Amino acid sequence: MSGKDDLELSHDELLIDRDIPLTDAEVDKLLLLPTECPPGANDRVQALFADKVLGSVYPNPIRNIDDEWQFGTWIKHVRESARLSPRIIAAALNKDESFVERLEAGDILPWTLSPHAGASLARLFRIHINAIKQLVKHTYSATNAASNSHLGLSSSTELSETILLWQNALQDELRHLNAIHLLQ
Amino acid sequence: MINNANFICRLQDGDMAAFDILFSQLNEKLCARIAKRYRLRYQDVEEIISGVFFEVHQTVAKSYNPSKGKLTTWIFDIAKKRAIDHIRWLNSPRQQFLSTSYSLDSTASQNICEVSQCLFVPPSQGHSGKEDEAASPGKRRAQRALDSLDERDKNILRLRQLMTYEEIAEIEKTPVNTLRSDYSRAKMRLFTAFEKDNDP
Repeated sequence: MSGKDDLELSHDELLIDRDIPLTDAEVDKLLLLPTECPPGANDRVQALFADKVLGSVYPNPIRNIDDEWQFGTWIKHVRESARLSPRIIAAALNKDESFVERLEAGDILPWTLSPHAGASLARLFRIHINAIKQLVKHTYSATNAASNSHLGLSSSTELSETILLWQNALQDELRHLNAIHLLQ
Repeated sequence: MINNANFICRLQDGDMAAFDILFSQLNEKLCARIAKRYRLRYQDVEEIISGVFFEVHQTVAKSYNPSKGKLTTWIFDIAKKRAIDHIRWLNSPRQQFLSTSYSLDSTASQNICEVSQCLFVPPSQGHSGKEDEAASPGKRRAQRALDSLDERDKNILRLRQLMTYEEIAEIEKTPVNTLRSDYSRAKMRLFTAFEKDNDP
């Protein structure tokens, strides 16, 4: 095996190579070798992995979400159903793990996200714009019932306008990211 | 640690933290191994390894049998098979065709004029009909496939290199969905012509 490591394998060799299983001893040796990966490779692989897992759970965009769900709790529910850790989701969103935890806990409200972060989240979780609006509405109802003061907004009208502007910016960003399937 | 029975139980029970550990301990090793052994672009390696982790994530509970070998061996073996499958897929005629098309797309985005000169030179401007001797075999096949199409197909393929469907719809006064179908059919005819052409 090691003698051919730096040679290009022919088609036939590839076929043979595929059919010969590796042994424990061979893999143990491989694990001892030093490795060097390009910067950011770990995060990119995690992002691709998260996308594959969520894509297998939700092959089509999610268009309707039950009234019971708020934005953060829904994200947490989907993540846990897919058996993905906050770290993997964070890597896929190019954010820290704490961002995902705060989002799920409701400490970060959806309309306070940048349109780019919101669109990345929508794309990763395959949330259609209509479902996002539903989630925002449920979250808004829950938080508005509690208090507006901690949001830094003086009135519920101001908050409604903020949400509307955010949703419009989000749609523009989804268009920009070519995620048309989440808009149609 | 990864091959420890307790860890394997956690993994097979769907423990997310255990999967994080598996990922952090094996990702770089797997990427480095596949990149070195099969001389693949790192972008391809990342795609393969993410697929390997996906397969492990989905099937470890059902498919991994500790009595047949270590967990790490099972995972490296999946990685090897997927890398070989990927190479065979890359070498398939369809993929060679698409990679040629992709190079056209990137050229188009950089320099529209270059594309029109390179691939869509109108006969009136002196396309000699002779194939470019310096071009790669794949590119020559693509050129011959393009030449075999009718003008409408060539037109939609050319326009699509340069504009969005919406922009073409505005110019051509044609519904976007019709354009999408036309483009899809033209691309299919181009691909069929490409596949039929066995000359180097």
